[in-house]
Amino acid sequence: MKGIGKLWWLLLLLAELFFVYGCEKFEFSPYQTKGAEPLPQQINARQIDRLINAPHQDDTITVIFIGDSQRFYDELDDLVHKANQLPSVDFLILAGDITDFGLRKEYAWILERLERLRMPYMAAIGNHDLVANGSEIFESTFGPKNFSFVYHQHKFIFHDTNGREYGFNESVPSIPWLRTQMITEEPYWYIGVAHMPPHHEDFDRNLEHEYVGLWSSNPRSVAILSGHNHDTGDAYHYNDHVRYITSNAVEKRSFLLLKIHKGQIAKQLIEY
Amino acid sequence: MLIGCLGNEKILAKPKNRLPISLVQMQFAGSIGMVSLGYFKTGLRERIKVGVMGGYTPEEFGGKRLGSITLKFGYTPIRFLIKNRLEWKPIAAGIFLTQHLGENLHLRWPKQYKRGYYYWTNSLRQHAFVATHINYLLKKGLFKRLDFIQNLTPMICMYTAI
Repeated sequence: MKGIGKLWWLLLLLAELFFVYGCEKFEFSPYQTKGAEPLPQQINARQIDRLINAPHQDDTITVIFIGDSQRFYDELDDLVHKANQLPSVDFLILAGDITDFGLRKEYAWILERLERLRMPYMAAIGNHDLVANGSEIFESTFGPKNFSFVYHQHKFIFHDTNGREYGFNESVPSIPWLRTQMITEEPYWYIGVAHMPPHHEDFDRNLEHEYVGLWSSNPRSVAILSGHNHDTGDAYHYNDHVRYITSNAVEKRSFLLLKIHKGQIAKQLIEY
Repeated sequence: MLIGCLGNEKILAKPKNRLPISLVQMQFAGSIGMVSLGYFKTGLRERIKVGVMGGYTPEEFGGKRLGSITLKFGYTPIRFLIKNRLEWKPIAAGIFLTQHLGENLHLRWPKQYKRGYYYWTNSLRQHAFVATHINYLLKKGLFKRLDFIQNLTPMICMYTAI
């Protein structure tokens, strides 16, 4: 390498300058909550606006219901492709565990795919989304952990039920907040969306009775849609009129297509 | 898991007459903090180096105040003398283990989790990198050599299983 020409010198210097100054995508820490590449903000609120302002096709609500997208990037690519081929879908529900480790980079990789959906999408928070600094990242990208919206006389109540992540401190799920959501003079049908179903051991046992009673005591409660189990399920767990439906994790390459009409839910398993 | 981590490092080297020489290393980005500082010893005619680094990310740049402690090992198999005072080590490969420090990061999961509930530790991560060195021998001063190190590929950055 002795006697290297001036041209090589220049090339080496340019290469170094390119690497040092040409790339802005530096990562300081995997646990950082903000970075040079901004993530979308307040996704749930924006998507609800998109849904409400879209022309209504009919009075049946068609929903793609998926759970647990964590680390299943290839499968999510295929899911998005399949979802975009289905006609008349009003919106997509992701019932938590968007990420596996609660890292900002994971949120970015999942959102990169979800943003390709043709229909609006909303997500509940899962236990995996809360680990490390994931809670703050969820709140800045998706918005509040508890939120609701009304569509075709059905009120969809998304809420945090991941009691174990809070040390079973009897604050999650927030019973007072849920109560305010279900007290209304409007004749809505109520559908809950929460990652952790109440009969699971990761739900705060001290709140199970009150939580189930809240849904059970309202004759217009229809169902609670959950994830976490990575498997489909549909049962009346508490001898009342409330259905507890769970969806497959994205890794299973199938999701539930729900047709909701006047408090009745018909479901179909769609494989992709 | 592959996480894009690009960083550039500068090494201020103070070689002694006999090996191993000591290195003081400053680093920008690279998954262990916005800025980090470390101390290394080299061996096998500077083909290997091992040392510790401390990293820091201010809240303004990372969203949260984050720290780190890193144990790092590097290997540079070949070197070329480009000119009198300039040498090039085209390939520098290495691994490092980092304990990340911060408000919600802990080595052991809190008591509400039964053993093995999560299969990874929440703050200890393993990394691998491939970089290149350009070293410049200084004429005088406290430090005898100035090294510029640049990562060539996205850094591999993965969790540590329990």
